[in-house]
Amino acid sequence: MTSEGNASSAIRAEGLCVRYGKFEALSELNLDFRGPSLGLLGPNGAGKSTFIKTLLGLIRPNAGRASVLGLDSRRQRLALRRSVGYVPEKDCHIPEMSAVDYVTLGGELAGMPRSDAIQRAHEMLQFCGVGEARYRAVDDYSAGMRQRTKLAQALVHDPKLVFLDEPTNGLDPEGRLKLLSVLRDLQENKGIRIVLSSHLLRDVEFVCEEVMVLRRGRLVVHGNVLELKQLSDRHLLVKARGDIAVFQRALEGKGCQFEDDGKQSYRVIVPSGCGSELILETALENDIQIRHLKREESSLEEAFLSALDGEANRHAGL
Amino acid sequence: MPVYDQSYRHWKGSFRRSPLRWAPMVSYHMKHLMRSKLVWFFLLGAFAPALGAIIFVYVGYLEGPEVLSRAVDVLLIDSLGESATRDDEYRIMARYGMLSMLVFPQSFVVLSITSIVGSGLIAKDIRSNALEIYLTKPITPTDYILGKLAVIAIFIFLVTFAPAALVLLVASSLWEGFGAAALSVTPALFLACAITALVNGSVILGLSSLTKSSRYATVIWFAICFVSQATASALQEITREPMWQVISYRQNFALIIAEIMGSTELPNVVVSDPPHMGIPIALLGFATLTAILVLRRTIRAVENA
Repeated sequence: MTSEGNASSAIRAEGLCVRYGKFEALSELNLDFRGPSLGLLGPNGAGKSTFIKTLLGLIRPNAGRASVLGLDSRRQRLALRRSVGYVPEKDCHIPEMSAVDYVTLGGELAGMPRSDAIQRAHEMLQFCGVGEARYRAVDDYSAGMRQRTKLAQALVHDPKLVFLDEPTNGLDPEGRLKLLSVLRDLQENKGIRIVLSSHLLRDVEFVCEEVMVLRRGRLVVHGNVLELKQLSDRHLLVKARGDIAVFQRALEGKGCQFEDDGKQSYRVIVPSGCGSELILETALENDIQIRHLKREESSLEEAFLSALDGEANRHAGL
Repeated sequence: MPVYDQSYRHWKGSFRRSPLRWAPMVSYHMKHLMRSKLVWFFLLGAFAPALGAIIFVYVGYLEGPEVLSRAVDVLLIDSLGESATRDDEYRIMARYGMLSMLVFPQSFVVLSITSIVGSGLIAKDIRSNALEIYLTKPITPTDYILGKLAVIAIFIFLVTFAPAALVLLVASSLWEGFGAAALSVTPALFLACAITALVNGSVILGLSSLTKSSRYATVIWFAICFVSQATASALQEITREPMWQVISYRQNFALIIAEIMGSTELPNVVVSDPPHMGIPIALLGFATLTAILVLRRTIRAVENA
């Protein structure tokens, strides 16, 4: 990313509120994103897609305002859409249309001259790895090929920023890795900013430098992926034998959070800078037999959010 | 080294700032629809009445103006007085000829081509989630609707205006003095075709936006056209009141087209006792507005989904 690119605000949201009836999809959301890539994390229904659609000017916010690349999402939405690409979550294609026609149409709708759009369509399909099949109807494509075709139509007009909504859904591991590699390449080497919405922390980790976490329409955190990831690394799953009450008191005394999950195992969040050694030492001191100890893998996102909750509670003095 | 490093190049061109942002959609749909044999069948079929008219024009050209006068006498016996000139005959002949072509033989072709072209235009987009792609491009929902409407309008003009214009062109080139009559009828012809395209296009797009299947849109479309026609005929028969004809979707078109073509100077080709013209205009206007509102609502729902 160029220094110029870093200096300007790619996405700015100020007090953004979106309501569907009584349901608040986005609540007082403030964001100033200037980096090359942003991961949008959060469970289903967190407001990720609503946030992207609001930025694209599809959804009118009930309060607040948003801008992308300095363009207001409501008043300058057509100019904004010329500068960005969008890969929707759903399987989107135009029936009975070949990939090359589909991507060409995308370019023409963005305002490219037809000859340029055709040339770019071929290039982008090649770039996204569906060049060999570009004359076939998209209806006949596999899920992975369709995802890559969607990416090609989002890139055809050479956008400065691309929004991707759950782009790895339904992909096999190889297809997922290919797609993520393309995205990383775009943001690292081509100067195209990426906003990747996903509920998979690993995808975001692979592509993005920054992450924002949404939950129930609220921005829980926004920051550097590596720094924030350390929080989730502190989640450990422990199975132990002995006097668990004593063990719990000892761990809490050392700043850990201790939670019984009701399945004879315990979730422990160790303080910042500590690891599993702290648990082993405490167990040794209190004559506790550790039967099982590992980083919690059930859902990194849940652990991530819990850690953030823990952080928030600690800051609030709860 | 990244996997696809070699092929991405930035685009150096500049975007067009055309108000016809929807034009690429039209071009795609035209290209796609012209592959259909059924579309070609109706397009060529629409020229059959024109062919008949051209034969008549040619016979008139070979046999001299007496044939034309005899035809006018037979067809328009009450409309022209004794003092009618050749110009009057030409003018009336042009209007009557165009009205006959638009209202009678073309009616079924228009309904069919509207259904074939329009029923899938939005239904297929909804089924394949293509609407989301369109709406995130730099086009407005109005552009999207205009693009779809333009596709239907082009086909309706191809089966109405094009054959009629061909007849006028041939007659103007063969019959001396017919050019002025042809020119005088052309704006009315264009307006009649434009109204047909706007109303039919809006209604079929509204129906198409209510379903994911173009078949359902087709069935509802023909149900509206023929059930309303049958109901109107039955009520007219039972009550002996000609006002019931306004229930018929097709009959309303016939009434409006007849008015545009100057029904006051033509024999009653559409109905013997036409109702006040405000009624069919209001009914078709209501149908068009309702269809556009339904369309907007569907698009809004996709934007918010």
